[in-house]
Amino acid sequence: MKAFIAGLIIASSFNSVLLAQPYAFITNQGDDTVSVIDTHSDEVIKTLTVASGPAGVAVNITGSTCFISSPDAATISVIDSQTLSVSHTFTSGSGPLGIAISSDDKHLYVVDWYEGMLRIYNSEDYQLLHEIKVGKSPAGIVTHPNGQSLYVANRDDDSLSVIDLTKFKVVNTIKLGHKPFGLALSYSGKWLFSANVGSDSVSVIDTVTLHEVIQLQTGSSPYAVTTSIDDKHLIVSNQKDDSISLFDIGSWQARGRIAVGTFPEGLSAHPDGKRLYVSSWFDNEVYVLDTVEFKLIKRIATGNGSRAFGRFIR
Amino acid sequence: MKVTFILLLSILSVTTESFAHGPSRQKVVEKIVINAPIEKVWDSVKNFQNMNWHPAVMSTEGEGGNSIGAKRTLTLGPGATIVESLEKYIPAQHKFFYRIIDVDTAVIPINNYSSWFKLNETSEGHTEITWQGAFYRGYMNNNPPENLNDKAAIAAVTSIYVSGLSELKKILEE
Repeated sequence: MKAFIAGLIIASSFNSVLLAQPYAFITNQGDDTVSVIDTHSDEVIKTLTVASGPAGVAVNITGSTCFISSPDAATISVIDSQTLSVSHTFTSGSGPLGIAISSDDKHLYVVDWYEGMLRIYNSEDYQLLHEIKVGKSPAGIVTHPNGQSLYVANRDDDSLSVIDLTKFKVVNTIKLGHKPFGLALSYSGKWLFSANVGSDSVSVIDTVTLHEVIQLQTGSSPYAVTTSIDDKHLIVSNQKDDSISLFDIGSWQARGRIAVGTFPEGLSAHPDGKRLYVSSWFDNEVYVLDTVEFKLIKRIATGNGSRAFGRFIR
Repeated sequence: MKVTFILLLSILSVTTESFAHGPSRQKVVEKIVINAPIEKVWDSVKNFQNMNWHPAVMSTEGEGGNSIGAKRTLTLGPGATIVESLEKYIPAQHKFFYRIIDVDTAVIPINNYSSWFKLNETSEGHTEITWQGAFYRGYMNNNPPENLNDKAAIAAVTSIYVSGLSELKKILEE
């Protein structure tokens, strides 16, 4: 009996850990808010007002903090995941858009759309540490899991800047498809993907050789890319096709498309390995997709113009 | 020297200031219910090569019919044209998706415009038209002049939608 009770206590405390599901932070560019979705209930539990026109988002590795870029206001808002409140707001350049966090949570990376600049901040006191010139209209940014490289998609240069994070400089610039916007890396770090809005394709780059191994045809105007947690699938949001494309990583076979609402944009995989969250800019919603069955399982109403550009779930 | 320096400083601050706001994509959704069956409404709007039902459109010329990639040029007045292409055409669902591939911002103060034109049957057997567009303002850099800002772009698209939809209602309910 005692053992049974002890077992129950262990089971219930284990359960409560399991139930502590991460939040999804959705930037709503049209109404200056962030919708916080509890991924356990898949409901919006809070709506936070931030600086004008929030677009980019980056949740840190531990999930304690979420950073939001507002290109219109030229600021970064810092959200405390515990209190679900904006704890700080600071100015960044002229139009901060793509935003990401270092693999040790210490640095925040922000690219400026107008200035073609990468800015590196201390993620705790928000001090500006480095400014590195990249290409024209930089959008997506992503860090290599080894912490040594950072990649920037330069939309109006059709290029990728490779930044060495030990030297804090651009060490390589390579060609991508036309108008690359969103970027993603496989969890292994082996593959880099860019969503090329202008050529309706995804460039697949080998991160060791920095060669494009294949360019995959997607739906119209791909915006963001991500991979499933197990690195088996590549997932692409097709802005003007109102769909999500799926490919097998490695064989690069297309697995088909899932129809969603109008202007699907931001994408993040859930750590449970089964769900994918997609924001819809036009329909002001977030879709929850089952990535095992490849189907839409829930629609969640958010705010006006949900973009959620970046890693919005950890 | 001092004067030059001060001038330079003021130029720098103007430059910084002019980068204070970036263009965000805008959207407009307009709906109208027409007291007519859906097939009747669809018949009057389904031909991509004829948008003359719109009071602002004087003539439509184009090629490709209702095929994907079809083009049309709408003439609104002397020298005022809009070139559009058909991206999706789904007659079974009474809807199509198109974009503007060429327009002068003096004609409509917008950039990178795309739109769905959709019909739905209401529970009363009437037809609801939804016309929705996504676009950027006419001036793509910062600090736009008033006639090319977000507000002007939204006002222009709204006015096109409202006038077109009310004209359709008038024609189809006669």
